[in-house]
Amino acid sequence: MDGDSAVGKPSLADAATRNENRRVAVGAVIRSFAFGARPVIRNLHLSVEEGESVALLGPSGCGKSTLIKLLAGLLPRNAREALDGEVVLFNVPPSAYRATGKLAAMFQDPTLLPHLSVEENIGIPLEFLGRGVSEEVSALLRLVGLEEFRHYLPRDLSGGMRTRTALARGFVSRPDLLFMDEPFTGLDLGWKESLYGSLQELRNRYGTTVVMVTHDLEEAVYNSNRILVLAADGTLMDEVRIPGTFPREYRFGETVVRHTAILGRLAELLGSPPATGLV
Amino acid sequence: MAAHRQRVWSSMRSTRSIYLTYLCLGLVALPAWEVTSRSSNNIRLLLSSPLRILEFIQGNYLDLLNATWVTLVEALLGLLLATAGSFTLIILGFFVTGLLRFLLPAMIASQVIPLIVLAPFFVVAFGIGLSSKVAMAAVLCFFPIFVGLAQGYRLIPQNIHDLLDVYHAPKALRVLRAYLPLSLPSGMAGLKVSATLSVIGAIVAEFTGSEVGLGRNLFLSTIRLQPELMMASLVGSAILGAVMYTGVHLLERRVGFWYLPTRVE
Repeated sequence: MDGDSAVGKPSLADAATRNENRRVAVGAVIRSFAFGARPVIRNLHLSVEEGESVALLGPSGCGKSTLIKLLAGLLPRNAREALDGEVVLFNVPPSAYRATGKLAAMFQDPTLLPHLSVEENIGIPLEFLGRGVSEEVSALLRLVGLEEFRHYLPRDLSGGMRTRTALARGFVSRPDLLFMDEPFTGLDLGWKESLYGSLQELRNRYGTTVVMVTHDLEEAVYNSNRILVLAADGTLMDEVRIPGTFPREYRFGETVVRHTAILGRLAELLGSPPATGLV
Repeated sequence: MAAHRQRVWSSMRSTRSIYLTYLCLGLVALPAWEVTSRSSNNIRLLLSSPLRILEFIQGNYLDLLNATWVTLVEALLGLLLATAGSFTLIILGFFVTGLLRFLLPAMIASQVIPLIVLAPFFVVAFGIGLSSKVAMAAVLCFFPIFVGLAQGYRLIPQNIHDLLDVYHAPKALRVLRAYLPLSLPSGMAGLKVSATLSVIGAIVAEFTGSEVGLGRNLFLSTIRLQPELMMASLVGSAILGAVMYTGVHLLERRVGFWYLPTRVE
């Protein structure tokens, strides 16, 4: 594949040697990326190690969703051509990596197929990847608590249950890398809390590297080891490491108390006017 | 639960009262029609009268049934042909990149032309037998179904396309699991329109030239000034339209279980 050409580019090789034991799951060097008229992302060097949970945080309109689509290689061809820079997932370009079947994604809405049952929706990635529906589907149904609803159609489920279905589907192919684009937006606190629990459990179970876009500070802090803060002009403003292991040994509600300083700093970063030279 | 039962009951009651009103209107209108047609020759020649029509149907029911049957077969074959054609073309469009974008403007433009004007052409081309009527019905039915399917495909959200891309879904599975089912709701809406269009197509082609059928009956009734034949054929066409529409409706109840509103029963 043309993936080999990506290996050996100095910037990405540097990132790879930072921790010799771990591979680089996502490596991106984006000098500029203009989608439409104005540049959305500029001077962004991003490296996510295997096994990490990284949150991308930023004000709305800073290009978070565009960035994650770019990383996953989901933008239309003409948009990809507008990229000055390079993106690799486990050392191959996104399109080549997708072909290996090790990538998964969750979107802003659950994106279930409306004519398929919960069970079929969870199993559909396996069908697409030609693997045949496995035991994994039943296990995941149990893990996200949807066993009773396995034959329900998406329209007969509540919003939270639909997101659970999407979460289970996100892990059914045992992905090495999962991209999440604000998947928990609009859910109430109770649902979010149990979904975070499931996410962390599943993440550990499959050893999946997670890159999550969000605008919710506490969600980012609770669910990741590292937070990348994007500025409104699409540059990387700051990087914050979050101590602790998964699954978190404290409840989501305690995040504020346990990480007051970090949350304060993030709030300050995001509240500050864009491009003030904080990098 | 009680509130639900209450709602079901009141909705049933209101539907029932609507039907009851229709029945009452009919019970008033039919005798009024009978009485006026007896009092005026002009009205009798124009509209006949319920009892005369009934008498006519009784005397000629075999011929009438045969005509209705022939027109039904023409309309049904036309609809089936159009359905098969439009599904084949849309599936081809899913597989061949750019084909839909090429075809759609032409398809939509063709909707502006009253295609029924092709009836004489088909009769000249295929003769006065079955095939010219089937062809007319098929051409008339094809476009609503195809445009409906294409519209449904265009409305598939970007996220679904992204999902298919993420899992590198092969084209055949994309079509089978996503494109085709998600195009079905508006495709079925097109099919419903076509169900009634098929009867129109068959009848108009029969006007132009045929040996048997409801359209021929209607044509003859005007030149022979036979209002009973006209009215009996009208009843036949109404029944045909209803049969075709009900057929599609029942089909949709089977395939559209996931998008039709859940019925209160």
